Amino acid sequence: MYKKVTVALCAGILVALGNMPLSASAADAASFKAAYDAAQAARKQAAAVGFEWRDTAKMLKKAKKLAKAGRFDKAQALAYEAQKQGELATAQAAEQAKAWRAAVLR
Amino acid sequence: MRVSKTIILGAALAVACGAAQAGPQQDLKAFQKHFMDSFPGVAFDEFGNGIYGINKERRAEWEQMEEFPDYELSIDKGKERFNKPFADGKGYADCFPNYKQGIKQNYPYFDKARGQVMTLEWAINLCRKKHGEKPLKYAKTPIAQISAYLAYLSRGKKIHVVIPDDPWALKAYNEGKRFFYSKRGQLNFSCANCHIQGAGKLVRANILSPALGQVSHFPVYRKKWGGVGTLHRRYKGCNKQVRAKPFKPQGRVYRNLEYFHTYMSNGIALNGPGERQ
Repeated sequence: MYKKVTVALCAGILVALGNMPLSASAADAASFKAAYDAAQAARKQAAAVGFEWRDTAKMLKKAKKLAKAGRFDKAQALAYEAQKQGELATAQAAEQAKAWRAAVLR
Repeated sequence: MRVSKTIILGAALAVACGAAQAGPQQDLKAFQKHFMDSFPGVAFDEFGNGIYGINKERRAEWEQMEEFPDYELSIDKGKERFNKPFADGKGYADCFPNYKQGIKQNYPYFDKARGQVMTLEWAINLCRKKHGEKPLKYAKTPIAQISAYLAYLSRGKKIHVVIPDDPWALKAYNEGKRFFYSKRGQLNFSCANCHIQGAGKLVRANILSPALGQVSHFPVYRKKWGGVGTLHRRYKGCNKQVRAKPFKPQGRVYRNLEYFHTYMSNGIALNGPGERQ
C-alpha cells in the first residue's frame, strides 16, 4: 500500500516538474537596453501629460548604474518596475481627465 | 474676415465647459460654505490660522510659538533686502510704489499683457530683471524673505484675487482648479483629498489643514525647513509627499494653482508670514 502511494507521489512530482517552465533566461546588456528604453518611453509619456511620478527617473538612474556594474537581472527588473510606473501614471492622467470634475465642491 | 484668437478661444471654452460648469463666483460660494458648514463654531477669519483655528490643543502650542516667532528675523532680513538699492540706483519700491500700504492681498492677479498669472514672487524677479539684477532662486530663502516682508506689511488686508471676465484668465483659473481636484502621484491623492475631505483629520501625528484660508500665512516659517519658504516650495513638498514629480516653482502650473487656491480664500485676512511645524 505504502509502496503504491510513494510511487504515485513520485510520479506526480515528476509530472509537475516536467510541466514547470524553464527559468527565464538571464538578462544581458541587450535585453536591459530594451527594457530601459521602454521604461524611458513610458516615463516620458507620463511626463508629457503632467503626471510623472516622483521616483520613476530615480529608478531608471539606479537601473543604469546596476547595468554598468554588470548586474543585468536586477537592472532589468528595476527597469520593468519603472515602466510600470510610467504606464500607471499615464492611465491615472486619462482617468483623472474624466474624474476630477466629480470632486469639485458644488 | 480674420477672427481673433480671443473669440475663437472664448467660443471653444464655452462649448467645452458647457452650461453645467460653475464659474469662479459659484465655486467660491460653494467652497467657503463647505468649510463653514464642516467646522461649525469656527469664525471665517480663523481659517487663516489653519489647524490652529480648528483645534484647541494645537492652538495653545501655536500661541506659545507666536510669543517669540521664528519668522521675525526673516521679516527684518527681508526689509534689509527690499531697501538695498540695485546697481542702477533704483530699488524694489520703484516696482512696488504702494508697498507700504500693503499689496499682497491683490496677488496673484491675471496679467492681461502677458496672458499669464502674476504672482508676487514672479513680480519680485521681474523687478530685478528690469533693473539688471540676477533673478533670485524661487525655492531658496532670499526671495521668501522679501516676500515675507511684503506679507508682513499686508497683514490684516483681506485677500482680493480677481478673475476677470477674460477667456485666458478663466483658462488659467480652470487649469488651477483642475490641478487642485485631480488625484496624482503613486499615492493617488489630490489637494482636495487631503485639504477638503481630510481637513481636520490626522495623518500620522499631523492634522491636515483646511484649504480655506490655507494661503493667508505664506511665506511661512516651517520648523522642518528651519527658515521661511514660499507657497510654491510647499506645493513641491506636497506633490513629493504623494509621490508625484513636482513642478517648477513659479512655472505656469503652480502659478495657475495659486490663482485658483488663493481666490478660494477671498475675504480671509492676510496674516503672513506665519509659523508652522
